[in-house]
Amino acid sequence: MRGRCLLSMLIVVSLLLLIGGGRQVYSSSRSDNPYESRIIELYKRIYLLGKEDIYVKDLIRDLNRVLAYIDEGDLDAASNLLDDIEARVDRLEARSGDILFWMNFRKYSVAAALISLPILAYVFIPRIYLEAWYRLRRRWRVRR
Amino acid sequence: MIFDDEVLAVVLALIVVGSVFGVAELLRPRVTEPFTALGLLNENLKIGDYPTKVVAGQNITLGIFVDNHMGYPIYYRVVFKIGSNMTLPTNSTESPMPPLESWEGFLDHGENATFLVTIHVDEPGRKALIFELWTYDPEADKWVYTGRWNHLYVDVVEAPIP
Repeated sequence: MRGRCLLSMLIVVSLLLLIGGGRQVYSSSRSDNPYESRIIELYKRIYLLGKEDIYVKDLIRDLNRVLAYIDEGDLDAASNLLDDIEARVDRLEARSGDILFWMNFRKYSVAAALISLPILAYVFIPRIYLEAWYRLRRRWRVRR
Repeated sequence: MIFDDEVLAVVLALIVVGSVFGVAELLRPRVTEPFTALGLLNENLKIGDYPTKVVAGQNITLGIFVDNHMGYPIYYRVVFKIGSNMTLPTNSTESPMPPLESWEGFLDHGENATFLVTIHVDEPGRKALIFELWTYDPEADKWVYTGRWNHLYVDVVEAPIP
């Protein structure tokens, strides 16, 4: 009887833990942050740029500064900086196609150069060696 | 120096191996195993020498370390909870205890942050100070528990009556 009671208690506790533990979404306690939705929208755009390997370190640093301003209660500074970040993200998004093209162009050019190195070496090393060999010995005289 | 066919073959072999490794390094994915990390440090931002006994209501200063190797920038939140050995988080589920405080920030790929936090525990007894790492999932549009957490057991004693 006691064992059955313990078992049902264990099941209830496990179910409660499962229900509580399975909750994956965190409801933010920062309800006092008036710029939360703006920050999240900007983060989503910066995330997409960063995922493409575009340089976003400065934007990330400035988003951290926005959070610091909000913590200090300087909402004007936070809003101004958010405007600035937004403008920079707009510009970066507009240029992202070009940036990606040149990044890939540089990457695959270097890869092509590296792949062609063995062929170039096969063709040119013997020639360069022979050229050097002759140049070093051009003043030599053949004795009979 | 004799530079005959054999020497040329060896030099070419070295160049072939070098260029193959170079191309592989250049074209490999930036992140093969993405991860985030959470570390708990003492008030001097070092590992170890954590407080074991604290007075109820008194401030405790600890250090938090967050690292991002996800291959993209993260918006993270370190959530503080007080629990016991029965309410610790796991790799897949967070602690069922309510969040008491949180600290947020952004990290680009390859960056880390170390900062001090001040917390306090009001109830006496043996408590687990739980720190969970959450990140904002921009595709799902919600905060998601990363499965990274740290906890520290402390004995909370009542403040002596003056």
